[in-house]
Amino acid sequence: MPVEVPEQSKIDEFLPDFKPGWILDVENPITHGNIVPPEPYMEIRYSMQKAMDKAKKVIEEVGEEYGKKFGREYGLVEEYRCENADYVIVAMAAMAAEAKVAVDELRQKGEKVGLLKLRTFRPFPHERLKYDKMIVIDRDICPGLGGIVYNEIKGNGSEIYGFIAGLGGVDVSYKDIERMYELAKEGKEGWYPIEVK
Amino acid sequence: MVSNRGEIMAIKDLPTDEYILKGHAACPGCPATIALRITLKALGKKTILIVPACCSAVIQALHPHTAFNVPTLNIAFEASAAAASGVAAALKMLEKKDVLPVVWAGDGGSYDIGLQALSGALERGTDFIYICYNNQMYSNTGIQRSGATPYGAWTTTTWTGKKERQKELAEIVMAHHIPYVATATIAYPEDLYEKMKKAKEMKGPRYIEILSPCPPGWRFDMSKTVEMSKLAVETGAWVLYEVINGELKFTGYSKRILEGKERKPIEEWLKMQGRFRHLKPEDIEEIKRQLDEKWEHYKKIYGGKE
Repeated sequence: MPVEVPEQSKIDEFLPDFKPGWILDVENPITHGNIVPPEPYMEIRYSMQKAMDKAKKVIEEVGEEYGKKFGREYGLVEEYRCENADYVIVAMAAMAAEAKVAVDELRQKGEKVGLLKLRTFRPFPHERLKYDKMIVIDRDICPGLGGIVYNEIKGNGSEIYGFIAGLGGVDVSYKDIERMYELAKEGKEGWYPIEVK
Repeated sequence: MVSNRGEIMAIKDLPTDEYILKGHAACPGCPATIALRITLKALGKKTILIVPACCSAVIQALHPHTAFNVPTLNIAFEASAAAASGVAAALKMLEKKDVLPVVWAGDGGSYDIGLQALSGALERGTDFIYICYNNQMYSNTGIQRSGATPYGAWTTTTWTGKKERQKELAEIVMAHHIPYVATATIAYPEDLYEKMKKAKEMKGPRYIEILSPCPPGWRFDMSKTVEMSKLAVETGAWVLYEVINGELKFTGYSKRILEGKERKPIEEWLKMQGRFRHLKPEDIEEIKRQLDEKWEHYKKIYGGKE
């Protein structure tokens, strides 16, 4: 896919002025990152969580604003052909690009399938993952737990099939994703293609 | 040293500016605080301190307070010199030519954990001063051995005495062909001040190491810090010199030793410290042998033979 880089002047119009929150300024000496005792530490972690909560709204707003200016919108997730889908494939990054092709192919065959591409992992957009049946493809593994995205959304009331695929850069093509879709429809999940049951 | 008026400068002539504020968390008798106080008097307001994990990370006080009155960036143990390269690059972009990044690191963060970052910054020619205040152990974490711990010294991880010799970090630094390398210690504040001033006027990587006798770590009374520092030089356990563009010149009492003044017996220094209390006569003999070897080496340099 080609990379479209907008004109610098348009980018400058869009971006706010660079105002770093923390600077090393000899006229206003501040100590950064010194040792934090337990009580302020807890307060800092609390404020980080609050900031993450707020970030969700900001990401959506800025994504929309960007869309108005540049013609392509971004948000917490990107939904592709999810309308009236029986199954929604959940993937991230490069595998999501392959999954788009797989969705097109499957839709052509008459399958009701869509794609939900996660664009943010923290904050995690739980509220956007509310489809009845989801096929989660993790290109990651937390040994002792399993696929990380799968475990993020497991137990939300949806019917979820989890696959681990493409670890270490093993190629995952749209054909593999179509295959995983077929397997999920048979009620199977697991390590693709090593162990699927 | 000579003041503006052309007179010999005394401690009372040091600038009255203070960059270490009241309420810091240093132990009583702490040499690092004395050293930093003098250092900042020399370097002045337009200094950015970069501090890895070390005693000074605690001395500056806990969040949300600080006792350092210059902008200070605390950074991971191994990363101070790399962070200084980043700060120097940012200052260059911002055209702030009069602001100086200064690393203030202990021997653990310099001899051991931060060594590769230090070497990298020196080789890249980062425009900064790297200061290692050397208390010859990881004092902050409860007295563990470091690469700077001398032979025979007790620490909690060498409780029968260290069996290995300390490394010579300043000599490793010299091998990077940088414009300025110097050693100092707090008993000679004018010497320390003068070296800092000299370094400040130069460009490129500059390295200064300050011997900092630590009362709780070395096991001596907190009122003896300056004496311990002075005796380290007089016995030859510590040497004062500066190296300008590769040319080494001994300074102060160390120079006088090379001019013929006798070194005080090392036992005087050792017996003042609980960390050497367990030494047997043969251990002391070995320390003496190592010291003689070191001074033979210095003599050759002094005589222009090396």
